[in-house]
Amino acid sequence: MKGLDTLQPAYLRPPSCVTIRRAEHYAANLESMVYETLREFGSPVREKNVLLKPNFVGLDSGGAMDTSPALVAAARDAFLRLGARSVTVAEGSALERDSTAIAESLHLWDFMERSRDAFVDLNTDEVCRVALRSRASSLRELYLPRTVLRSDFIVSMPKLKTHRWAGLTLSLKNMFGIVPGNCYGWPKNVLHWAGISRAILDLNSTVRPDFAIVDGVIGMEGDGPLHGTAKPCGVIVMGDDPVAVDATCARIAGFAPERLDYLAHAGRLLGNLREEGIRQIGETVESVRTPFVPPPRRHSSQARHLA
Amino acid sequence: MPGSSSIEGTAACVLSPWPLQQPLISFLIEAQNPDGGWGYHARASSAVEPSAWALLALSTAFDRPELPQVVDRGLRWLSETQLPDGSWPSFVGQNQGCWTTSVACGVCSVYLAQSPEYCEVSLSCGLDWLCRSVPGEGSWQSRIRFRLKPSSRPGAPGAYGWSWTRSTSSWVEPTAYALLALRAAPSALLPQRAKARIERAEQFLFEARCRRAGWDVGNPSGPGTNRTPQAEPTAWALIALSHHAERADVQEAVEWLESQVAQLKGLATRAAVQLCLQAYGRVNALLPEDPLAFERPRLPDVLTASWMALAASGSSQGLTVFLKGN
Repeated sequence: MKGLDTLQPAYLRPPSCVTIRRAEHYAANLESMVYETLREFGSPVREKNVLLKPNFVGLDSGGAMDTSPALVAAARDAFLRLGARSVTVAEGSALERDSTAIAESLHLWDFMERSRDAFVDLNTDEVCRVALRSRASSLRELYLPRTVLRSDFIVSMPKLKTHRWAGLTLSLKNMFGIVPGNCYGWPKNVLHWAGISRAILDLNSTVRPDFAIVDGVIGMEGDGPLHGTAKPCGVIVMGDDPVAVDATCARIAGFAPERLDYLAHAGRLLGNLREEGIRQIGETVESVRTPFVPPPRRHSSQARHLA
Repeated sequence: MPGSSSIEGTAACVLSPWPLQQPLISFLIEAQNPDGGWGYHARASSAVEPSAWALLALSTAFDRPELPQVVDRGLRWLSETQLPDGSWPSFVGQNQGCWTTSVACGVCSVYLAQSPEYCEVSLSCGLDWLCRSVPGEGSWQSRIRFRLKPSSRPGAPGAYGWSWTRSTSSWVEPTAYALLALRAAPSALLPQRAKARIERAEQFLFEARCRRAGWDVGNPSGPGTNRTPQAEPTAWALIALSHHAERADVQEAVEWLESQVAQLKGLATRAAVQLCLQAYGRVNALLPEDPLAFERPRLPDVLTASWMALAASGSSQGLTVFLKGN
C-alpha cells in the first residue's frame, strides 16, 4: 500500500506534470490519447495489477454524473497495451447499493466486451482494517476493500463536477468510492461526519492514486454532484500527481484551487497545488478554460467560499 | 404496530411460489461458509448482513432435508457475532454495531419459536440496542445546536430514524430495516421506548420523502430540495410503512414505483421492488426466469440471491415472515 512516502512538504517536492488533452466527444480516439500520455509519463505498469476507479454515482440518464464508460474502457485498453498484468474496474457507489447495476445502466460491458468479469463492486468486497496515515479527521482507521489494497497501481477516474459540499469533486474526492458500503452504508456518511475535506486528506494520504484521468469531456456545473447541469468542457486531464491534476481542473473550471479546503490542505502534504509547481503538457489552461457555475451558496460554507 | 401489518390482508392473494426459487435456495445452502455464516459472495468471509438475509430467505424454503442443519449453524454463527452491547457489526472483528442489527433482529424474530436458545436473548438485547441507538442528529450536542440555530435542522424537531453507522445521520434504508425489525418482534420483548421510537422514525420517513413521490437514500439536506427518488430506498420505505397503505402519499409512492418497473436496473433492485409490490398486493414479474443465468458477469451475490428468493416465494410467504414475526 502506498501513501506515507507521498507525504512531503511542498518545498521538498519536485514539479509535477499535468497533461490536458482536447476531446470534444467520447467518440474520439481516447485509447490512443491515454496510451500516449501514459507513455510520456513513463508510468510503471508493466506486469502490475492496475485498478481503475471511475466515478459511478447513480443511474445517469444525462451523461453528466458518471465517468464515461468509453473513457474507462479506453484507459483499460491503454494499460493492457502497456503490459499491465491485469486491469480491474472497481467502484463502490455512494448512493446505490448495486454498483454493478450502475455499470450495467452505463453499458460498460458493451465497451469492455472481452472482459465482463473485470468489474468489482467495492461495496461488497472483502475488507481489511487499515490505520490511516494522517490525522486530519477524527477517523483513525477505515475498513477498505482488499481489491484496492492488493492492487499495484491505482488510477482515479473522476468526472469534472461541482459538489455542493466539497466545492468540486475530482480525483481526490473520487477516492471516497473505495470506502465500502458493506461497512459504512449507502452513502458512506461516516466520511461526512468526519468532515469531508479532512476525510479526503486522510483517505488519500493512506491510499494515494498513482495516476489521475479526469473526464472533463462533459462535466457538471451548478448543484452537483447529482442535480447539476451538464457542462461540455471538451478536455481530459491526466497526471501522476492527483493534487496537481485536481488543481488544474479547478483552474479550467474557473475556480481558484486555494479556495477549496481539501485541495488547499492537500497542496501542503500530498502534491503540488501552485501553478509554478506544475508543468503543463498539451493544451494550456487558458486555451480550454470553461467557467463552471459554482454550487448554490446555500448548501455549505465551502460553496459560499467558492462562489 | 407489532403484528398488525396490512400485508396480512393481502397474504392470501397473489403469487404462487416462483418455480425457480429452488435454485436460489440451493445456491444459498451451497454458499454457506464452514463457520456457519455467509459472505457477500460465495466463499467470501462471513458477514452479518448477507448471513441474516440468507437465513430469512431460508425460512421460506421447505422440503430440503439439509435445511435444519444449515439454519442451526447459521443461527449459531449469528448469535456468536453479537456484540456485548446487543448490536451486531458488519464483519467479525469490528467492535461497533450498525444497521445490520435490524436485519439480525428480524432473523431472531422469525426463528424465535424454532430456536429460542439462539434467538431469545439475542433478540431482546438487539431490540434494546435498537431503541437506545440514536443517530447523530438526535444526540444532545446536535439538539443544542439545532436549538441555537434552527435553520441547521432539516425536518421537524424530534423526527429521526436510524443511521447506517454509529453517530451519523438518519437514512431511509436503515430506518426502514429497523422499523421492520421492531414490528417483527413479539410485543413482550419490545422495550418500553419502542413505541415512541417507531413514531419518531415514521415521522422521519414521511418527511424524508421526495417531493416527486418516492424516496431517495434520505439525504439530510432537508425537504424542498430537488431530490430524485430511487427505486430501492422507495421499496424499503414503503415496505416499512405498509400499514399506512391507505395514506395518499404512500399510494402515490407505490404508483411511482410501479411506473419505474420497466427501467429498473440490477437484480437486487428488482427483487426489492418485487417484494414491495407484493407487500401492496400488486403483482409484478420483475425477476428473470433463470436467476442464475442472468446477463451478469457473475452469479448473484448472496444478498441479492436472498432478496430474490424471498420475492420468489410469493407474497403468501416472502417478506411476511419478517413483517409478521411470531
